[in-house]
Amino acid sequence: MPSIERMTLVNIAGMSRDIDATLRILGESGCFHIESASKISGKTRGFDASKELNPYLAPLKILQEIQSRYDVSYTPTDYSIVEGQRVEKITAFVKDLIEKLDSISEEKKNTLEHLSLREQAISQLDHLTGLNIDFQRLFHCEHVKVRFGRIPIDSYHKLPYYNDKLFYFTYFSEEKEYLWGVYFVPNNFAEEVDEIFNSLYFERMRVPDFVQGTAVDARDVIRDEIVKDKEKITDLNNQINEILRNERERLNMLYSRIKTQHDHFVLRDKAIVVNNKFYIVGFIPQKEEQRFQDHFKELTSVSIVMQPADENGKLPPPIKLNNNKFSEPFAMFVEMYGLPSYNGFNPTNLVAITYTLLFGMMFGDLGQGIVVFLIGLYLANKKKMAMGRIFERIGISSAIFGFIYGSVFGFEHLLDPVFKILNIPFLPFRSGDMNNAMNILIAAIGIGVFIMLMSIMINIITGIKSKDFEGALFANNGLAGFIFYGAIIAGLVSVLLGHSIFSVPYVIGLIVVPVLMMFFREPLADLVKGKKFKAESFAEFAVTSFFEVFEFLLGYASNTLSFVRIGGFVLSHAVMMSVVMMLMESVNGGAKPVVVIIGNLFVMGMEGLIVGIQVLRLEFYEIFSRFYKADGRAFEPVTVDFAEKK
Amino acid sequence: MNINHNGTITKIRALYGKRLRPEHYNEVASQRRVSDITEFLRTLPSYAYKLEGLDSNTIHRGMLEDILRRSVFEVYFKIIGFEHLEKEPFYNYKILQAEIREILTSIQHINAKSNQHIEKLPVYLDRFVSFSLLELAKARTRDDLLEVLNKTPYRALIENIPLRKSGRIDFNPTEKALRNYYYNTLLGSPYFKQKESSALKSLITTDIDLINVINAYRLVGYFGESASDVENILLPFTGKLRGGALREIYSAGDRHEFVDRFRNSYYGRVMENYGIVPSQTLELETQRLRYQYAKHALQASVSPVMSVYSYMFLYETEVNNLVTAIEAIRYGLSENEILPLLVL
Repeated sequence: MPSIERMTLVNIAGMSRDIDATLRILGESGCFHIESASKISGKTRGFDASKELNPYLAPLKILQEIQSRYDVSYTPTDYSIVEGQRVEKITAFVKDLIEKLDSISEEKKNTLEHLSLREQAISQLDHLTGLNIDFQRLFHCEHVKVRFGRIPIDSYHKLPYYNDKLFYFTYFSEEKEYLWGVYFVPNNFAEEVDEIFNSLYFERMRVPDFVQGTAVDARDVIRDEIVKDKEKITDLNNQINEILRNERERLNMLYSRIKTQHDHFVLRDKAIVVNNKFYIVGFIPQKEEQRFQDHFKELTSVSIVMQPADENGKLPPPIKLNNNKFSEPFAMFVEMYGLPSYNGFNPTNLVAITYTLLFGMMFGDLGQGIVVFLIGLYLANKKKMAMGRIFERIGISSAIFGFIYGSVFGFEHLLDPVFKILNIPFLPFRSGDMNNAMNILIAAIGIGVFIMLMSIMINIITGIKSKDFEGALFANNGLAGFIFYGAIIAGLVSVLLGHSIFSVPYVIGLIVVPVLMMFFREPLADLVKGKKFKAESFAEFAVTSFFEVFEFLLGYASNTLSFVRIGGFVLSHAVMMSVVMMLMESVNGGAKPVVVIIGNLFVMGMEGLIVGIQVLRLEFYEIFSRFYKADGRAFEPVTVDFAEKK
Repeated sequence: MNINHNGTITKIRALYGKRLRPEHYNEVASQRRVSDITEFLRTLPSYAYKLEGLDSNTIHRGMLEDILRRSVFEVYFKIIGFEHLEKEPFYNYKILQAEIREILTSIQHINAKSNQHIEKLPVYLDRFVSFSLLELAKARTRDDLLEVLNKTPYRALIENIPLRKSGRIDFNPTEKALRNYYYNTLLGSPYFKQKESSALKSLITTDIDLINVINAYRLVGYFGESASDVENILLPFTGKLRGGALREIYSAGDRHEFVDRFRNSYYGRVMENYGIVPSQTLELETQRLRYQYAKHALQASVSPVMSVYSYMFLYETEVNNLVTAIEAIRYGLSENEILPLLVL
């Protein structure tokens, strides 16, 4: 199975009367990636299907209104029972239904307003029960204004200051900061006194017209009204619920049908209709060819022409990655960076292997690895999180390396009896042992060199396949770079081992010549292609190429050293766990398990996250940047989105 | 005064722990309405109980400010009431402060023929002060004022200062006389006969120095008064600005020179250590310096007197900052314009 799904370009043509049936088949096939047909044919003449009004839009909007206003949830369902119904009839039905629901809802809203006013009045009247006077009589006073409300206690103490003013204030009840009361003022002085009370932060309360009699009487009447309002609201809610209960199944079927037909109709935008004939273009996976054609058996007026996917240069084929079960979750990282081109290289397997191994090495602990695995199981199965499946894999890797390091939740000697039985000479390879530190760092660089050479090799192969000779042969990530970098590394290793292989022919042939190839990569590439090289001026070309090559050489060194972080994290993990162990030993018996648990959680949370990010960084910057051109676009078969507009 | 009042010190430390931090001020300054500020303050443990029972949606800006200002005295009474310090000398200094502030406010209203003193009158202090606050707010003439202050030491102080030719009360000498009385009473407290009082004395004289600097700055900078006129209004106490050091500053010709001279003074150098740059907004910068002094004094304090004095200054500054922010929001200032106005 190719790692990038092979596609077939499909051209569909038929009589325009069959366009809806065709679009429906395309939607139901689940494997058709539609393209805009105008991309192939250029400008169109004649009838444009997209200008037609979508007949399903009106009923769909109503159904969605019902969904949002009345908290109805739709799920895709078989709608064959309502398939034969005319759209106009459906529209009339849902319109009638929403009007019925809205009218009950309007009544409920009015009752709620009525209730809210009475509840507010009750809370205010509670403060006025000390006043045994009929409100209406008060409000009908001809020469005196009456103002109910509350005044801050501090302001109340300032009232004696205004003894010379003509008003009378009395209060009936007290709150923390306020006194509830009323002031009376002759009409002629109302303006001045109102201003005084305003400046004293008096908050006026408007007693509603429906409050009749004394405060106590009014409160009893209003309480009765509140009970009645609440009963009415319950009754209206029941009416709404009953309607929805009776119509739920039907609504669900209607929504499934209308939404499907609406979404299929929208696809008309992608089609071209000329002289009563439509034309649709798109891609399907090559392996689906037969099944796809079978769908159209009964639609005889429609003809289907299949072509190789890269037949039309204007339409690059969409990308569907084929990954095995192990590497599948890591496609998330690849998609995060961008999809490969159709003839490119699918790096998911490479990411899966390198990510799993590097994470395990850098975060090696048997106990913590198992915990990460279990968290992964939980996230993947219970929460359906894609990250969970990655956790499962890196957890196992971490556990395996933890076993090699002999570390279980930071305890370095818990596995000693097992190693005694196994009797393997290099086990356990204690990462916390400082004698191993240099070996770990050298091994980290070794891994880095291997990964870099491998990445350059992949670039050479993909470059040759895509006829990018400059990149494949003469660039820093091409053959020249491979020879140069490989020769430098091999030479340095030989010097370290005491048998230097550096010699004049070695240096000239494997180091100087590749550098010159990199320097002259553009003219050399043109030479291979049979083109004539053109540069603005030799000086400009030389200066640009010099700095580029200089940057390449620096890049080899810095990128190689970048892998030291693998060793660094192996050591830091061991050191952090030894700190946890030291803290544990410094506390009393009962607190030891608490320190171990908190310490492990801290290390797992903090270091686990950092290692996860660092490995991803290595993947993206040290590996992907050498060969990966993320210029692909995803394969998205047409479907109906039921989750839309909740 | 000799009794150990560690409970009070601990209580103050706990209250100081709940002070507003820069991030709280950022939050306050970013609000656009008084109701939002009220809601935000309610979320803070140190303000939730002070704003209990208020309706954020209807609260008036002035009322919120009054409640915050009142909280200064609530906190003060809470602290000194904790171990019944109210009966001991010195601790009534906040009441003295309040009495003098209200008398000076009353004089300003009398001189301006305004009857609005009542609006901001702290009637909640009526039972603590030595005269009737409501009667003070009613005073419209010097005679009314003297009548209200009858039987208080303030009457004689004011009576000794002749009216100005315009018939108005001479504000500057009156202010000086009242503040003299305040500091004499404060520093004359038996507490200052004790050895450990030197730190508090130094803090108070520093305050006096900085108050003198600011009064001099206003007179020189805004009214172009001469050095001898300035000298007449200065409080006759000195801290670090001894031996003509203060005169050297206020002998400046204008406010730019004043700030330059201040920058080279003892306090100018201390400000530099705190990263405060003296500028034309010298009032704000000296307040910031006083705030820093009080902060250090509280942190180092092992005496209840010092703790109460420094903490009350810090808390009052916090309240003033909130009031400044509320006023600034009312005038539509942005967060970036409000924050530089605060004393932190």
